[in-house]
Amino acid sequence: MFDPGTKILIVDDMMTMRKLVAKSCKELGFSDLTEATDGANAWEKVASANPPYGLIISDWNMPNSTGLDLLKRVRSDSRFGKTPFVLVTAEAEQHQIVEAARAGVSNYVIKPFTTESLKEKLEQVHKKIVSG
Amino acid sequence: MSEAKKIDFGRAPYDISKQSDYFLVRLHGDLGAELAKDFEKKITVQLESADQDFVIDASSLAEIHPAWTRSLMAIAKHVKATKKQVRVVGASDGVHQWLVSQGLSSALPCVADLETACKQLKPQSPTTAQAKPRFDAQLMNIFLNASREVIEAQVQTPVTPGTPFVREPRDSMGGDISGVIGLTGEQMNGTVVITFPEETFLKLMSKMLGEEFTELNPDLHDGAAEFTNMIFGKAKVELNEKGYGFKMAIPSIVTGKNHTIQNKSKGPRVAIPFDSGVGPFTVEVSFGS
Repeated sequence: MFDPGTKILIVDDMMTMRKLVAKSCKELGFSDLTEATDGANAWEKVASANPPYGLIISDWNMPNSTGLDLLKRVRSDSRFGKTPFVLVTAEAEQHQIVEAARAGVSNYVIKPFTTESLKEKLEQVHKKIVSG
Repeated sequence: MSEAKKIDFGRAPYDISKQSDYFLVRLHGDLGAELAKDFEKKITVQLESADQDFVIDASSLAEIHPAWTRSLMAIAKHVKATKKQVRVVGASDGVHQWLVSQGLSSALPCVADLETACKQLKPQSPTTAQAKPRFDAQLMNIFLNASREVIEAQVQTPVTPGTPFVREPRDSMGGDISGVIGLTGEQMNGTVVITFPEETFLKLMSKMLGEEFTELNPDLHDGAAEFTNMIFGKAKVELNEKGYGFKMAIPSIVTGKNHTIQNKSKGPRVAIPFDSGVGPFTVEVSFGS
């Protein structure tokens, strides 16, 4: 599993969902949590973060700049090419999952989710990173 | 030509039955000249009245008696004229060779089995081959199940659905806060609204977020929209598998004591009441073409 000190960026236009993801992250032992309200706001934080974020958990369906837009932007910058990126989505249609996979998503969480299901997804991401 | 397979069925060596998507013509045994005339008469009636394609099951035949040439040619001619389709399944080498020799193989093509025939007669694509989606009990059940699953999973509270009821166009939503999502689909447009009385909403949010909320402040409002988003997201997968072709949309929020929401779809408003264990809420679905 990710180190409890991992710096995490939580992106969602809905305050309650940011709170919900943050609550689950805290239950999993993480404490270094930053919130962003959409893809554009998140990119500003990602680009200026020092040290960089060790994990981004972003909603997909947001106005202005979606989670997928953010993912593509993050992946297009060589500095963040390998930053673990988890998309949270209420949509689980196959073509969308394929689209996210092509854009380089590390994993996705389908809403509604529990702390346990988030933990499982994060463990899968970490396992992939460790196994190279 | 060798002797045709003879089976005594104690009845006509063929039968014609109406299936859900096609007429099935089973040829059972030796088809003599007299039976051929009788068959031709009956099949002609079906061809003229039916709006469906035909499958001829020849699996019980080794060969076809020459007397049947005329009957099968009549089928081929009629099928071509009415733009219907026919497939022959279970054809032996002898039957196939006979169809080729009579010049009937393209009008009455042979395929491996019934499954292949059905696929060819009714090409499946989500939006064209399936029955036109309707606003019906099946659709309501999709939303009922999605609503229950979302609240139970996200809030960790048991949810019990009540009996759905129809709301009049000017009826209020029966609550203090609603999450609204407008749906745009290939077959119909609509709206899904989840409405909570203030007390229910505060208790659900407190349970979900692990904080005590006693006031319906604007920071909490988007929780109602997110519930709607999740319910529609979950329902959408199943709906689109059935050919509705819905696109995702951004939800919005409406608040106020006994507020109303204009029903843009002009369709009937069907509300499903739920008991969440911490209070009631409703999910309203309305669709119009």
